[in-house]
Amino acid sequence: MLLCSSVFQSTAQEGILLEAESFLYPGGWVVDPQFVQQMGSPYLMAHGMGQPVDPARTEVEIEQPGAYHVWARTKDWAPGNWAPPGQFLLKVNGEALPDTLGRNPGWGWAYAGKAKLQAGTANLELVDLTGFNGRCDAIFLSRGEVPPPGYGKKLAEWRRQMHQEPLAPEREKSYDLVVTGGGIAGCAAAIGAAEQGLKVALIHDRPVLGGNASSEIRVHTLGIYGKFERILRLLDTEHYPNGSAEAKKDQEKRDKNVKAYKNIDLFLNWRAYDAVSEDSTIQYVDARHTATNERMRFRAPLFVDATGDGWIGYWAGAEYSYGRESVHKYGEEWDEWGELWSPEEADNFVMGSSILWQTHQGEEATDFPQQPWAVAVAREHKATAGEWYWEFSRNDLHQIEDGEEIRDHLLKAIYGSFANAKALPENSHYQLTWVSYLLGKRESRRLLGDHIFTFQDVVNNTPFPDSVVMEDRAVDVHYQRNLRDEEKPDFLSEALFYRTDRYYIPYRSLYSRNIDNLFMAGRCFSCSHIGLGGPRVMRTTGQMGAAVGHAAALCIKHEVKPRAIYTDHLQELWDLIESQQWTRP
Amino acid sequence: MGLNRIAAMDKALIFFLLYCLLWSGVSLTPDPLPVAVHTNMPQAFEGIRSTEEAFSVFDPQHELEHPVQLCRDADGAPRMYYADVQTPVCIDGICKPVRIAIYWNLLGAYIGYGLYEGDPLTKYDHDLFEEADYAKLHELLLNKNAVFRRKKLSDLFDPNAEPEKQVTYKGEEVDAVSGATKKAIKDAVVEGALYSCYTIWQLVHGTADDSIKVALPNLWDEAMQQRFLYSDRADYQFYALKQLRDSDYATYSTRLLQLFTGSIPLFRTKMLKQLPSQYWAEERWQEKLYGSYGQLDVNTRTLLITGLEKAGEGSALRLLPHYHLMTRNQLKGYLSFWEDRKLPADVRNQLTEASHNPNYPYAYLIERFLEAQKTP
Repeated sequence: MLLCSSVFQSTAQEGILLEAESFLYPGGWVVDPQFVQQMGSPYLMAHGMGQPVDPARTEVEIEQPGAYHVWARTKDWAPGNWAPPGQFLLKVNGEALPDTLGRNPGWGWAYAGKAKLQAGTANLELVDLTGFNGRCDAIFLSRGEVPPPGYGKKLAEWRRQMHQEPLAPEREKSYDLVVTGGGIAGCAAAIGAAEQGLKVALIHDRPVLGGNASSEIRVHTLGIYGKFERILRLLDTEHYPNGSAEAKKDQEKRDKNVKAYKNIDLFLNWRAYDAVSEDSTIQYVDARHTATNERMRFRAPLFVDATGDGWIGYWAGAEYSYGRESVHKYGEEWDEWGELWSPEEADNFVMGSSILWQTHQGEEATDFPQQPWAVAVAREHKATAGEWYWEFSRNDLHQIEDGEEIRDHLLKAIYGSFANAKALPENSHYQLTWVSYLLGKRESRRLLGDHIFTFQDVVNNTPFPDSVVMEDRAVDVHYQRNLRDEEKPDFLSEALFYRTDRYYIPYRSLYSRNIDNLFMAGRCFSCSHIGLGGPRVMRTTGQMGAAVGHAAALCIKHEVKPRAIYTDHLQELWDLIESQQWTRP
Repeated sequence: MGLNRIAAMDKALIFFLLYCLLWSGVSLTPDPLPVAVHTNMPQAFEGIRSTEEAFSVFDPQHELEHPVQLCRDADGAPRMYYADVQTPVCIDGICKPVRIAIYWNLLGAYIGYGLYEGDPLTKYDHDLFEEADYAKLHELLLNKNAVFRRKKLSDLFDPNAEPEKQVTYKGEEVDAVSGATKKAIKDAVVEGALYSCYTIWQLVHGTADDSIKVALPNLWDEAMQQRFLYSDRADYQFYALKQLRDSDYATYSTRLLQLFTGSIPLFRTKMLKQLPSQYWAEERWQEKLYGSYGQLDVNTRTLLITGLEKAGEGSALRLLPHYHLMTRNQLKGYLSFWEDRKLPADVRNQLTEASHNPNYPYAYLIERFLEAQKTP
């Protein structure tokens, strides 16, 4: 394998494989690592909100001169009877190859053309033509005429062979605690543990911390602080409107505060891809850098799954649930909303994910022409701003497995609704300032703990001996508006609120019931669909994180697993949580 | 504005005749029920013959109790509920009485209001409600999620009061999940009649809803099952659907299949989720369910595809001409039905043709499926 600077380039007899996310100069293209588990790799995307972005460039070392067939792994993300929105060209040494890319439905190799290359350094360039989310996963300079496998296991195996990757990562590190996921819950877990002296790895697949609260997604933090105000104030946000650029200030605060902890090793832009357990104990988590593709193995006696999607538990074999339970399973009926609240028959129609966006009024009038692929989703809907209720769920879509389609559907909805609004004279000065390309998820896998937190615990305000998290917030469950009225846009939701007095989440909902060294914090904690409705907001998930961080410290001290903290050391956990409130240890 | 003028303007005006049937436990109403100024369910008012006291709603704000009457038709069938409400509306310690008739349907949903002769609604400055104000009040009362929900009077009227939750950021109001803005409240109510709107809304959406729902199972019989199912209201249809026993699907098959295309998506998906397996296997049901695929919403279509295991190959064949309407995952689900089955020649031919359809974005998945079928 040849590593040229930071370019992930692999040369084999059959050709040269270049990962797009490893391009030396990404220009205006962004690295999107959200859907690696579904389509195989992080990719570069031209997220220009309708304005073509600057080219992405890289260099490739050619050892064997001659003619190469050039393929790009890409996809048309809005296939239909119209010009594909995400088209781009590939230039080799300044010359555009003849075939336009981004036109194939479904991820696969698209032929760009033939290039004659001399030995030495060649320049490659991705030239965006539209500004509408063209995407490129990899480039293959092939000596033969047959494209590589396009998808699935065959592609993964071919890729591994091309990169000559050994099965295990090249590097290994050991910690007291490995936290995967740098949202508010993961950050709070890392801080809680680090303050008690643990050596912590915090692995996060983005360049900035905060997840849904980050300046990349911009949801404000809701909920109460519980016992962890001191820690959560280091991480949370003001109550600005969702999508506000004010999120950037809180981003600076959060990143600075977490980086100040000497015993937190922060792995930004690293995405976990595997976790292996033996005898129900996780041995390690493997992660890969989202741009360089370097790999690392993280060993520890304890792990926190703060990925939101429950990936660590999923890979390690933890029991989990997904979907809406039958109303009868945990007795979660609320007559006022019936089937919309909790269905009689279980299904997968969970709360949807959101993409937030922002506009401003410029000095001059501008155009934002309607696009046929966007109006197909937006239809008549007009909007100059988004909010939390721009949310997409459909019963054939899985919030994790179909994340890319969900994100893309929301992009179409946004561009289409904005163009509809722009057609009115009073909106001529509106411009898109920002559209997120990261999916803000509400609900995904829920790992099962010794206690499953449900609506009953809310209704009864059940106090537990291990109530480490508390919340006053209404149970807030969403449904898609088009369920009651087909004429409503399919990307808007409605919220149902069940108001209540204070309720509590026990520590037993924060560790896996069958993987004995796995904690979870965040929306993948142990709960039912309705149970998730209240505490899914980020101060509450932050409380979960801080609580498991402290519990982890006691696990290390007593050399025990998470369950033993409940059975044998609960008073000590309480004492620790009480004492940490006022001063940093 | 006089009542006669309102009556002339509103198409939904219905007059009630009383003085009729007498039987044990039923009270005679000495006067006709007040005309519904606005209603979204005029059929509930047809043929009311008697009323009887069912329960009462308590208004904690004024510590008043208002009896609620169950209205029955000539056959003794329950049709709706009604309350004659007289309540003070108070501003700065000065109170004036308001009298209004409130109507709910048998599921506890507000369906309209009426006025008593000589008691028109007025605003703060004693101006009479205008036509548009009456309509706006009805719209407000129809919204059970209105901005008033769980708001205290003080949140609305005391300018110095702290809002329940923080809803401002840097002096700008934030459209928070939990809080309604002052502007939203102003937009929702009749201008100059905030107090009346608030008071009436609280009565309409107080405890009556729950009491009516609790009473319904005790009133339920075959006639009501039928009436609800044949109603044009989605909430009635849905309630009736939930009460069906396995044998009822045969009894009501015509109506159910009619509603399958005619009702809202929530009805369809619920119907498919609870449909007993013997009906999935029946030709008549299959024909109607799968034959209407093209007219249905996307979520119902998904359930039809997942239902193929129960409905069998005949239904899968019936769906084939509709392949171009399938989403990516629906197509995957459809193809996976055939995966472990011997592919009939005509299915293979139609799929092969579909795999070359340049207008269907997921034709490539059909191509992949056919490729995989070739390799053992």
